[in-house]
Amino acid sequence: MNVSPLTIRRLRNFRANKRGYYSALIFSVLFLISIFAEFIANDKPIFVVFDGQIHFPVLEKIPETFYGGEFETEADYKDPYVIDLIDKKGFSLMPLIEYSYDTINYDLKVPSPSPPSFENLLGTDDQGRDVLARLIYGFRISVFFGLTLTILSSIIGIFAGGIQGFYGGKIDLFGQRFIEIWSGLPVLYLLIIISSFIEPSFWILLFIMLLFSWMSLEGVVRAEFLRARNFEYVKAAKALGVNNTKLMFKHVLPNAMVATLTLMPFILSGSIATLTSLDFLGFGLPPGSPSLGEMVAQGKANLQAPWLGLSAFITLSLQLSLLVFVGEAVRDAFDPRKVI
Amino acid sequence: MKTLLDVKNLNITFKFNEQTVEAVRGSSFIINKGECLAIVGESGSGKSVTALTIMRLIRSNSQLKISGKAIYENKNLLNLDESTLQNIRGKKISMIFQEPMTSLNPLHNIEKQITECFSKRQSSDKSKCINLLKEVGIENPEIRLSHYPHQLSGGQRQRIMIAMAIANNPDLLIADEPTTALDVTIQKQILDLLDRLRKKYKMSLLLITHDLGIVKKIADRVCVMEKGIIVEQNKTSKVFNHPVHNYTKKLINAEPREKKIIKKKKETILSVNNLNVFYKNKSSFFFKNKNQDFQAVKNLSFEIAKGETLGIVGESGSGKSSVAQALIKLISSEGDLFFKKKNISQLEERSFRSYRKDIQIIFQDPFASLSPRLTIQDIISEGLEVHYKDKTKKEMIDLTKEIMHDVGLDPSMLSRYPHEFSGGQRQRIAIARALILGPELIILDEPTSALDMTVQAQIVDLLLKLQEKKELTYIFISHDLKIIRALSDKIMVMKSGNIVEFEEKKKIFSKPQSDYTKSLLSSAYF
Repeated sequence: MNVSPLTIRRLRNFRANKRGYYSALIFSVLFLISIFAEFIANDKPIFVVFDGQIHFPVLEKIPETFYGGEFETEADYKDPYVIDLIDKKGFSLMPLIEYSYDTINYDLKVPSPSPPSFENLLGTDDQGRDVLARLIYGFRISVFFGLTLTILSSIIGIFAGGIQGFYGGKIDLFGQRFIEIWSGLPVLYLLIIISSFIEPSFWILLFIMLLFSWMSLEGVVRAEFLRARNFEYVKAAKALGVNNTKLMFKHVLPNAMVATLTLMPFILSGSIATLTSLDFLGFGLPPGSPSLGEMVAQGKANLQAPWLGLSAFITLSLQLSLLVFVGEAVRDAFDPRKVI
Repeated sequence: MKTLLDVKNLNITFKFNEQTVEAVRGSSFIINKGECLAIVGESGSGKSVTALTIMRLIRSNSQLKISGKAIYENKNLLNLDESTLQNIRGKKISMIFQEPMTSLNPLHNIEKQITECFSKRQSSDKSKCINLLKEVGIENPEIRLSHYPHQLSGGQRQRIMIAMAIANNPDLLIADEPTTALDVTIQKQILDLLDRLRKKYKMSLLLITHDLGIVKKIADRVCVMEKGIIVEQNKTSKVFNHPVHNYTKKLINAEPREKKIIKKKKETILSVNNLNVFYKNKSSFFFKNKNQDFQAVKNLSFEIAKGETLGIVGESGSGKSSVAQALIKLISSEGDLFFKKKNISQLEERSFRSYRKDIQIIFQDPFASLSPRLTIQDIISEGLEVHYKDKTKKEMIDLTKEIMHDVGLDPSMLSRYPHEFSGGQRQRIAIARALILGPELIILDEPTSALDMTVQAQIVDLLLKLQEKKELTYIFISHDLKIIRALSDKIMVMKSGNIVEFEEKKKIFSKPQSDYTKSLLSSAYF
C-alpha cells in the first residue's frame, strides 16, 4: 500500500499522545468483545456436540424435540432436563456469563434486584436480569448507535456544508437560513410526540436524531470550503478545466476532512450521551432492550441497590472518556503545528 | 572607528523530529558605530535567525541550541538576564520587521503604539510622537495619531514601525528585509529614509536583505551568507567589483539573460477589447449597498502576437492580477476577448473548458499553488485527465516524464509530494502542469517574486528556453522591472486599473513618456 509521508506523520503524532493511544487500544478491545456479546453472555451454549455433530445454538434455532424432548419450541438450555438430554449423546459449552440481556434468573435467593454474587457478578436488576450481561449488550448498542449516527450525519453534513461553501451566494444564503430555522426545532418535544403514537425502534430513533445532528458538522465544513475554494491550487485546477465535482472531491474536501475528523469523536460521544438520556427519560429504545440509560433510570428508582447505578455510571463514564481521549489524540494527529 | 557590536563564532542549531539543521555555523562579524552592514543571502541562509538571536527574540531550548558571543558594551547579549536585556531591547538596539501589515497591533491607534516604546511616560509624549512622525515623513501627523493601522498604507505602516524603532535613539537598528513587502517606488522612499535617519542620529544599521540592488546603494560593508556560513565579508565596493567567493559571484551574476527580439510580425493570438473588471459591493437581502462597485481594470485593450511576450508592470493594487484572472475567466469581466479570432468572452464555463488547454496560468506562490495532498504525478497529469480522457495511464505517465525532463526536473521524482521540493523546483512543477496540455498562451502572474535571486534567473532562463522551443506566447505580470526587461517584447505599465504606457520594450526603457513610468524606472536599482 502507498502510505503518504503525511499519513505516517499523523500516525506517529497519534501514537505520541500516550493517553489517547492507549484509550484507542482499550476501546477497540472492549468494542471487539461487545461485538461477540452473543458468545460471551448468553443463555445458549456456544456450541453443542450432539450425535457426533457440532451445532451453534446462537446462530440457529434448535427445537427441544431435536434433542429428544417434548416441545416443538426452541430448547431452553438452562433447563436441567435439556442439559441431561444433551449430556447423554454429547456435550455443550456454556458461555462465560450464562445470561443474555433478557434472561430472567428465576433461582434468585433474594428478591430482585439482587446484590452481586458468584452467579450474577454485578447482581441483577429489578426484573431479575443479569446486570453484567445487560451492560455488555448495552455498550454494544450504544456504540453502534453512536457510530451509525456519526457516520451518517457526517456524510450529510459534509455534503450540505460542501455545497454551500463551494458555491456560496444564494445557495449559501438560503441554506444558512434553513439551518437556522431547522436548528430551532425542539428535538426532545418531537421525540416525545412521536413516541406517543409509535414505539420508536433503533432505526426510527436513529432517523429522527439524524434529522438534527447533521448540522453540527455542516458549519465547520462550510467554512473550510469557503476558505479553500480560493486557494491557489484550487484556482490552478480550475484553470486546467477540472469540473466542479472533481474540484470539490479531490482538492477541497481533503482540507475539510481534517476539521471533520477532529470533530467526529466528539460527535460520537455526544450521540451516545443523547441516546442514554433519551433512554433514561423513557423516550428511547423499546422497553426490554439493553440500554445504559434504562439502567441509570433503574439505579435512580432503586437507590437501595447501588450496584445498578454504579455499574451503569462506571460503564458510561469509561466509554465517554475513552472516546474523548481518542478524540484528543486524533486532533493532535491532524495538527500540522504539533511537534513531538 | 569604534566597534559597536562584536559577534563571535555564532552557532545556531535547530532540532526537530530527529533532524538537526545547522542554521548558522561559526559566523563572526562586527558592526562599527554609525556604519551600515548588510547581510545578504538567499532564503534559508540564516540571515534572519542571526538578527533574531542578537535581539534575543529566540533563545536556547530543547529544540534550539545557540552558542557563541555577541558583545555589546562589554556585555554578552547571548547570556544576559531578561531584566538587563529589557533595557537594551528597543532602547539601545531596535528592530524593524519585514511585514508591516502584521507587525502593528490592529486594535491600538498610532499614538498608543508609539508612546508604548518610550522608556518614561511624560506629558510631552504627544508632541514627541508628532516630531517622530514628521521625522519619518508622515504627512498630517496630528491627525494620523488617532488613526488605526488599517487606515494606513503598507509604506506608511513601515514608516510607523521605523518611528517606533528610533523613538529611543538606539545605537543599532536591525532591519530585517524592511522593504520586501513593499512596492518599488515605496521601497526607494523607505530606504532613503533609513539612510537619512542613520546619518542624522549616527546609528548603526544592520540591514538584512536578499536584494543586491539595495545593498549596493546604502551599505558600507557586506557579509555574504550561504547555508549559515559567512563566505565573504568586505567593503561594499570591493564585494561588487572584485568578488572572491564563488557564491558571491553567483549572486552578483544572477542576472537573467535577455530575450532576443523577434523582428517579423506574426498573427495575433489574443486581442482584448475594452476589458473591465468590477468587484461588486454586495447588497444585503434587505438593504441596497450605496457604495459604488470597485473597478479594478478600466477599459483595457491590447493585442498580442504569437511568440511574443507582453510584460505587465505595476504596483500592488494596479489591477495586474485581475487582468490575468479575467483573461482565463477565473473572475467575471466585461468586454471582448478574442482568442485566435474567436470571441471567448461570452462562453459558458462548459464550452470554455476546451479552450482551457490552450490558455494556461502560472501563479505567484509555488507553495500555495500545488495541492499538498497529491503526488507530483497526480498534479502534473491532472489536466490530461480532463482534456485527453482516452489516454491510458501508461501514456500519461510517459508524457509526464517527458514534460518533467523539459522543465529540468528528474523524472524519477514522480511519486513525491510537493513539500519535498524547494521553491524553485515547485515553480518548475507548476510550469510542467501548465505545459503538459500544450498551451499556446501562458499567463504568468508574478511567477518569480516568491523565489530567490539565483533561482529567479534560472526560472527566467527556463521560460525563455521553453518559449523558443515551443513557440509559446507569454503574458508576464510582475513588479520587478529587471525580470520584465529580460523577458518582454512589449511592456504595459498599469496604475489603478488604467494603462499608463504601452510600448516596445526599448522605448519604455530609453524614452519613458509618463511621469509614473519615469518614477518607476528611477526607483528600481539595476
